[in-house]
Amino acid sequence: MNIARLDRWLFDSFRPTARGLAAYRIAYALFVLLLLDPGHSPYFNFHPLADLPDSFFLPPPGLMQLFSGFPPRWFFAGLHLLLDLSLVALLFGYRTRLASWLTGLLFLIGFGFLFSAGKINHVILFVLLPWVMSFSNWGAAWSLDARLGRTRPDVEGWPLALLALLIGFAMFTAGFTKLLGGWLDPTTHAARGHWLKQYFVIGRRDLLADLATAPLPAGLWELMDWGTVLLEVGFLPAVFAPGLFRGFLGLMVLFHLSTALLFNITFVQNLIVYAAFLPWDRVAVRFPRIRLSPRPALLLIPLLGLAFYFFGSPLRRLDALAAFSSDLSLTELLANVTAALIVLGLGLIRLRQRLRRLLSLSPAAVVAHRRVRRALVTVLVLYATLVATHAGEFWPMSVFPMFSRAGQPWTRAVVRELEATEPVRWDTLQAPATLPGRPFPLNATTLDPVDLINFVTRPEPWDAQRRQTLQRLFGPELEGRRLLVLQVQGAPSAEGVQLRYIPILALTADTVLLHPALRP
Amino acid sequence: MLLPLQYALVGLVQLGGGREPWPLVVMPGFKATWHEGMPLLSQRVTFAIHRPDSTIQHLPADTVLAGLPYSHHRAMLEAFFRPASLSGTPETERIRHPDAGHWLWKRLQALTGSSPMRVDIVWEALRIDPKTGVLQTQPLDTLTLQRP
Repeated sequence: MNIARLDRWLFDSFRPTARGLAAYRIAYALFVLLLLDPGHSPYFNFHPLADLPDSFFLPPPGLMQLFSGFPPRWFFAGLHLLLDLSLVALLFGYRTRLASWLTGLLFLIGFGFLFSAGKINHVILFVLLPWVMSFSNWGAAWSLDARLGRTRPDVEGWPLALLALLIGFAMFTAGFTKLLGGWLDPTTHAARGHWLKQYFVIGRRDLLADLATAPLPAGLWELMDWGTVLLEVGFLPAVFAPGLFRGFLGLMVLFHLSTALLFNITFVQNLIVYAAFLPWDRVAVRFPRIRLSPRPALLLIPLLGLAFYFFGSPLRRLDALAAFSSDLSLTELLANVTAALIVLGLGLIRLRQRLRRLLSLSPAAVVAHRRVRRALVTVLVLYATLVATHAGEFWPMSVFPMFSRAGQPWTRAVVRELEATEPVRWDTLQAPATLPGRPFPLNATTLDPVDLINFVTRPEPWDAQRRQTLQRLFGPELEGRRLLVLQVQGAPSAEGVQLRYIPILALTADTVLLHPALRP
Repeated sequence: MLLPLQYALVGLVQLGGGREPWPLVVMPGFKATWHEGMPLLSQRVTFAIHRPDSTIQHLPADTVLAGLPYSHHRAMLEAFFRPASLSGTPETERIRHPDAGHWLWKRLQALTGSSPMRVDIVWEALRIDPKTGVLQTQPLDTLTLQRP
C-alpha cells in the first residue's frame, strides 16, 4: 500500500460528524455505567483483590512487575470512585479528553492488578477504546465542553480507522492461533470439543447448551471450525474495506450471541467497541434535544458518580430475575440479544435499500414486486384464517406443532394379549410390570398404531357401531385371540412421568367387553 | 509496525515458557482441537475441611474462590493451590505461604462458621465420555495444610 492510499484509508474511510461521535460517547458512558457496572459486577469489580495475600500476586510480564503485591482496599475504592466520576464526566462531555484518558488509565491499572492474580482476560480493545476515541474529539458536541467553549468543533475520523486496525489485528491473532492449532483439519472438531468441555467439565448447561450433545452432522461441526477461523483471520484484510469491515463486525456480534446461547459465555465489553462503527450520525438526528445548563450539570457529575459508586447500576438489578447454573447474567445476555437485533435490523434496512435501488431501475420490476407482495400477503391471510378455524389442519396447510406438547399430559394406547383362561380385570394400573397378559406388538400387524390411538382416546360413547368398527380395525388379527386394549395416560411429576393404565375393552373375534364405566 | 512486533513478543515470551504480557493487543486463541469420541480430560479440586468437631466438610473450589471472577478460578488453583508433584515446581504451592494460609483460614471461617483444624486440597483427574456423559475420577494428589 503506497503512502497516498494509506492516507486515504486512514483519513477518509470513516467520516464521523460531531453529533455522531457525541451520540457514541454518551452510549459508551451509559453502557459502561449501566451494564458493566464497575465496582459491582463480577468481572469489573477490583475490590476483592485487596483481600488477596501478596503470595498470590503473580504479575504478567509488563509494567505490573513494578509492584510487589496487591494494594489495600482504599486504593481500589479510590480507583472505582475516580472511574465512576470520569465515566459520568464523559457522559456529560466535561473535560472530555482528560476523562477519556483517565477512564482508560484506571481500567488499565485495575485490570493490571486483576490479571496479576493468575490469568489475563482479553479486554484490551475495551481498555484502549476511550484513549483512541479521545483523539477523535468526541466531546465536540452535546457536551459541557462545547457549551463552555472549551473545545474546537471539528472532529477526526482517523481514530476510527486506528480502532478498526486494532480490532482487525486482535481478531487476527485469535484466528491465526487457531489456524496453527489445526482447527481447519477436517478430522478434528475443535469448536465442539471446547463446547463439550464447557458443558461437561465447567458445567455451563443453560439456554441452548444441550445442543453440544446433539447428533448433528460432522460437516456442521467442521463448518463451525472453519467459520470461526475465517471470520477471525478475515477481519484484518477487511479493515481496509470499511463496508466489509462493518459486515465482519455484524457477524462477530452474531458470533457473540451464539457463544452466549451455546457456550454460556459472554464477552459484552467488546460490543461497545464494535458499536463505534454504527451509523451514529443517523442516530444523532433522532436524538431528543436536551439543553442542560452548565451549572446544574456540573453539580450532577459528582452526585451521579457517587450514586454509581455506592449503589451500582439499577439495570443490573435485572440479574435477580433469572438464575443460571453458569456464570451467565441476564443483563449481559439481553445486551447480546439487543446487539444482534440491531445488526439484523441494520442488515434488513440495507437489504431493503438495495432492493429499492434495484427495483427502481425497472418500472416492470416494481409492478412485479408489488404483485408478489400482494400474493404473499393474500396467501398468508388465507393460511392463517383456514388453519386457525380448523384446529391447525386444513390440507395442505398445517401448523407445525413439533414438540409444542412437550411437558404436557398425554394419552396413548397399548394392547395386551390375554391367555384363554385369564380373567379380565378393570383395575387401573400404574406400573408396566403389573399389566396382564403379554405384549401384542402392533407394528407386526397391518393395524396403524396412530389410528388405534386416535380411535380409543376419542371421548365419544362406545355404542355398538363404534365397538364393531374397532373389531373391523383389528380384522383377522383377532382370530383365536383375546386382546385387552388399555388407555395409557402420562403426566409429568416431580418424580418423573406418572403413568396410569386404564383397561378400556377386551376383544375377541365375536365379542367386545367394555369397562363398566364406559358402557352406554 | 508496532502491532506485529508486540504479537511477536507474545510468541517469544510464551516460547520461553513465560506468561502472556499485559497490556498487549492480542485475543485468546483457544488452540486446542478435539477428535470425535475422544474423552474429555480435566481436573477437579475440592477442599476437605476438618472441623474442630471432627467432622469433614467438602467445599468446591469455586465456592472458596467466589468473589473473584469465575474465569480466574482454574488459573488461580493451578498457580497457587497445586501440589508440586503435579506441576513440577513448589512455586504452585504458594498457599503454604503464611499470608496465603491466613487468607485461606479467614475465608474458610467465613464459609463454614468455624476455624478448621486442617484442610486437604484434593486434586482429582476427571475423564468424561462425551457420548454418555459418564464421569470417571481418579485421585491425583492432596495438599494438606494445618491450622496456621
